[in-house]
Amino acid sequence: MTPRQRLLVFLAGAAGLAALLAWGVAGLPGFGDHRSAYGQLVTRSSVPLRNATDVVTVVNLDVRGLDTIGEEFILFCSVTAAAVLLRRQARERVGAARDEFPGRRAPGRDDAVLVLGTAMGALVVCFGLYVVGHGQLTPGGGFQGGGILAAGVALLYLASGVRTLERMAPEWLLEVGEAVGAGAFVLIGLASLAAGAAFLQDLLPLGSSGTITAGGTLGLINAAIGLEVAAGISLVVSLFLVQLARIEEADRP
Amino acid sequence: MPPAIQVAELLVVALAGLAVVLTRDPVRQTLVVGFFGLQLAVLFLTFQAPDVALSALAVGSVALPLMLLLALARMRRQGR
Amino acid sequence: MSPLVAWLPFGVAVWLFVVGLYGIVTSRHLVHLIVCLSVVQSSTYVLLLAVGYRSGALPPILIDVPARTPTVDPIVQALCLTDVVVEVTVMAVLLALAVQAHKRFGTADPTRLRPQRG
Repeated sequence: MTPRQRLLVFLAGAAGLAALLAWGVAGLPGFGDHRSAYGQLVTRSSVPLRNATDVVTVVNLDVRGLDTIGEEFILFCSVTAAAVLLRRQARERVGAARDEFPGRRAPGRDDAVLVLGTAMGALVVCFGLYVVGHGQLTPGGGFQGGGILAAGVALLYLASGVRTLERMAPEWLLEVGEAVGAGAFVLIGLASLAAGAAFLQDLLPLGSSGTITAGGTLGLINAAIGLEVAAGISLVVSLFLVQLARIEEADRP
Repeated sequence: MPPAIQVAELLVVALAGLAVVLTRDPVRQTLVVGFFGLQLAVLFLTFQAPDVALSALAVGSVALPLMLLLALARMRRQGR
Repeated sequence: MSPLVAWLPFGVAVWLFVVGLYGIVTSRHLVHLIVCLSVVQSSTYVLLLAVGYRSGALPPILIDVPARTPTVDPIVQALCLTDVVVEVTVMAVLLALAVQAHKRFGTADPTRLRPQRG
């Protein structure tokens, strides 16, 4: 099929699709008129029942906790799949880490970049821990905080290079972190079952609203998710780094 | 009826999405998609969704562009 | 004019979906294609959050909020929130596939990839 034919087929299909989507969207309640009994019920009950002020976290980790376990395992499977795809293939070998390649000179490493980047990386990691820890109170939680923590790890690499990253956040550590995070969420759910309650039912004292202990197990689950997301995204980034800086074609035998 | 700031941000996101698609050079596109992610985060904020904005900000403007650049660097290394 | 503006959030969602598809169909580079897919995916976030929005309502963060104040729907936000983060690792899988395809075929142009055994 020539590009032109392909474009024509696409335009015909896209026109139909856009019309269908517009038709479907026209049947929605008008923008801004949304009233969902479910949403209102959860919003009204999240402070009285859980002492947690961030309703989104309550929905994610408690009301629809099982869904979130599913989501979390999509993340887990994706990271695993990326790891399988990025490992050393046949006819490749893992060489020494290189920061530059023939024909592409890396700029010299500057002390100012190293100091400032490491300091900012530390700040970003602190902020990530704060966001993970306060997920049940203010916007944030394991997913967002985990992303921020992974950004801190990325900043560390940008400031100090691939060898330092491999020493400070080695692959095995990230793999363990990811597995522990994913397993901990399920174990917290199973612990409620073992105590004779429903899966993921909140059995810890609910603390008082507005403090870090509010929401009982919500904080623990956020910590588990934060660990998994941070380790998962960092692992993927470091796998791409290994692929770039170390894996090379083996000499033919 | 959406407030004016939402209308403005929706238009920015619509244009940024178009710009992402029309930027054919993947290295440049990495920058454009970072901008797109940032604008999405602002849009989510105007939709009163700070949680979603925070996660879009964390991954859309850091992790995704970095992964794209690393993959592109690997392809470029292979190319020579 | 007014009904058109009231419909704009949904229109932008449809627009992002179709524009992203256009990019996928006409793409000449696998990485470009993957990024276009992320544009398609972001249209679902815009649609969901637009559906859950309520005029004049507060975000579902109940700090110093009088009881019975209207807030926007937390359910759709919870749906988007996890997906935004999970999306990035799914993108990683696709990028890893693209890297391996580029190694094997020496090109990242999807129109020049040929079916291959093994």
